[in-house]
Amino acid sequence: MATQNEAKKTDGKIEKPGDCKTKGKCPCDAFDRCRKRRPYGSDVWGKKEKKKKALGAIAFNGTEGIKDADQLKKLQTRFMYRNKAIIKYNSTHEKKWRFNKYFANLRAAGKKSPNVLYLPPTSDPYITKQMNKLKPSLDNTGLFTDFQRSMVARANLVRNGLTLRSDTYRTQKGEKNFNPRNLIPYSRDKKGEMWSVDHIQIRAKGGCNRFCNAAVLKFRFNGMRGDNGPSCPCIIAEKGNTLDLQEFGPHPEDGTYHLYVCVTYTRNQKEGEPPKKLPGICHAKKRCKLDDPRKCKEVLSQGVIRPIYKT
Amino acid sequence: MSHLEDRAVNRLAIDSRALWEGCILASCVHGVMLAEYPFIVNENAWFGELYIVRNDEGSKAALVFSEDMELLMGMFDDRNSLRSGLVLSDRYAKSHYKEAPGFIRDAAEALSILFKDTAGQKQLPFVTTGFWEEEDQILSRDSYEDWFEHGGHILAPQMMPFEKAMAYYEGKRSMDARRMEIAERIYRERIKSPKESVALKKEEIAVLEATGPYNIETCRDVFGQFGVVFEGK
Repeated sequence: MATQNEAKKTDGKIEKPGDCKTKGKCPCDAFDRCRKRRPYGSDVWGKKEKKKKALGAIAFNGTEGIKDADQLKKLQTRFMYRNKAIIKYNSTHEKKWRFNKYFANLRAAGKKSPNVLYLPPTSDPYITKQMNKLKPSLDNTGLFTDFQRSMVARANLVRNGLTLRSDTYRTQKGEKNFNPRNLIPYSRDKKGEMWSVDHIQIRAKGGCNRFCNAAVLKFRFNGMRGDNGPSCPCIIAEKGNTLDLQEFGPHPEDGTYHLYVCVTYTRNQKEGEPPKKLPGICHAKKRCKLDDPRKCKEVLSQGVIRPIYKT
Repeated sequence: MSHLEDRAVNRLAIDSRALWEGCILASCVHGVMLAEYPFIVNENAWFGELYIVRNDEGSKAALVFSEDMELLMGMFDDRNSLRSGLVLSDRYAKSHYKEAPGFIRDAAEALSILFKDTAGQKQLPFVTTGFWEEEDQILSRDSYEDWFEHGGHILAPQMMPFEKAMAYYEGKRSMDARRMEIAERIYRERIKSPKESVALKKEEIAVLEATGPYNIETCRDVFGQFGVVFEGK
């Protein structure tokens, strides 16, 4: 089956890929890999010492971690002082500094005025509460919640010595590979250099928002991946319906991808009917048991050995 | 300008006031969660009557409202749009407003500065769709479906009815009951008196501060962008 873009180019007529004609096991091992990946951060959240660090206050200025409260307070005071000084200058001078009191702090990494990402301390019970609340938000094509993004960022920072660093992408042949890079917390002007939580298995092909499908990637590279990435040829986010496609699940109200499944060439099904189950596509109502990054032992006992950052 | 019927435009069924209220709700939610999740800082902003929202995937929408909360114009940058291969040019950015009155076209050109992206050595606007207000209607060169597909979906949460939107934010923004209450209270007051300042009470500030003490100043700035001030400060 064509990708979403190709489908458009063929004016809605979906070309049937060769590997979809074979009855039997689904060839898209990208989905199998989903089951072999540890939930993101399990290497940090599952180890006592690292977990302690991840639960604590973390501050990162784009170059290095800020380890003590005094240093953090000093930086904050400096930022506020600087903002006030610029506001005062602008109120009395005709020529204004290009300044927004909000973004003024947010400079690129390595500059004199670093931007700071401050993640407040959290606790195990709070994480448990949030994990329990996650269930209704987990879905194929779902976006990562802010809680998930903070868990990913904390794990990444602790793993990399309080520096945000993108994960290695060594994926299938023909796909884009990305090497680890240092990332900045946030910036208006250098958005491309910022960190983002990427869906390893892309959303347009049913990639879910569970921790096992998360990776840290430079914003620009995340954009470059777009809708191209590991995926099953039999599922697609495509507007409208054709003879070969039927709706897979209800239309999401939040404007995310609406999935369709090929009913002619998917395997282990009657022709004309959608498959009951697609490999690697999560069941909408069953949360993956492996999905709590704190439960490293449980994950390992099920033979899931590959941390995502070594994918 | 000629009659609407003579031009290649579509009427978009967008309720201007409801969308403004949706943007205020998104902003209240953003403000109350910012102290705990500071990385969302760029995702929602007001500059006077200009509202900008960015999503996780780098897509962006800008809406211009009048002082009376009437929607005047919208511009969209959808990184997952199938048009993304076409969009990096001044000409294409302008094409979305080709059928609009002159002053709208000028305003669109000015607004497109916020949508510039790097293309080789140049900075060019990345705009995948747009709309404008004319004769009390929201018009676009795209149909509603196309507008939604190529950028309108960025505003999907802002266009949800209140209850649905709160349920969505509870999940997406990982909100707890107390902060949902605070966001709802500010939202109700803000839409009741759009031109008045609304104050966050000291005990509410304390709740937010407890979730991220070093980020509270940023919170204050963000709330200040849409007329919400901190009591006693």
